[in-house]
Amino acid sequence: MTAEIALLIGQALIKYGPTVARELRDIFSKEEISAADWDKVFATAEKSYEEYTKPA
Amino acid sequence: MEIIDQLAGIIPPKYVTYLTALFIASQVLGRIYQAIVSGGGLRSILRGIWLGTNTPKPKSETDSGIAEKLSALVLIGSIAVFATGCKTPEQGAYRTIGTVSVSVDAAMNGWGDYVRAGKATPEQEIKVKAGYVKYQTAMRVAKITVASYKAQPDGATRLNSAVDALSAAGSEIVTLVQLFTKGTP
Repeated sequence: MTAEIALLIGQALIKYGPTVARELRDIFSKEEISAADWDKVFATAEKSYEEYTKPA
Repeated sequence: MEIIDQLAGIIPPKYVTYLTALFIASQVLGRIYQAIVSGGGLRSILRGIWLGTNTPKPKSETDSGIAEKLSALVLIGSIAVFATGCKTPEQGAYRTIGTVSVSVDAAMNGWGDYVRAGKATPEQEIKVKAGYVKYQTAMRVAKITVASYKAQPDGATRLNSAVDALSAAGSEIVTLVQLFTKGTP
């Protein structure tokens, strides 16, 4: 992990909180990308617009 | 000092220093713990230590967390930095696609809060939904390309094109959401 990436993940932690920072850290710490890693990334985009905006 | 004087009366002097340090440390650790539990992140931890409070400012229900979630455009703007130094095209694609995915998800979560707060107009909802569907389409193309690029002679070029298209679609939806919710992209 380069210093730039570490810095940006640190910024993400401060600005967006631990969840986003942790997700980014996981993404950038992968040396070998498995099928499960890809599935996890693509799965987020399967969420429909209605799922984001449905009443709480 | 009053506490130290009181302790000195009950506890042997050689232990007073340790107990005082423990007392102060417990306050600092307590504030750090409270900051973590309240989900405020590093900023809240530092506020807790230096300013003596980590209680988040009371926000209206409608604005809760929206600003933070919608600032994800900065992440997408940093993709060029993120993708550098990758060992393989696949790793570069994974980092870029992953960053876009995290950014758009954060923005859409913020948009969901905005819609539930009753602030979004029907026109805005139509535009954001269309932008999100476009992003989903770009993501499906990227998924197919990732699965097949190694078997094609021009696979790396196709992968780059798919990733670029996805980045553009991701930036578009995040910009749109920021524009509608904050007034500026």
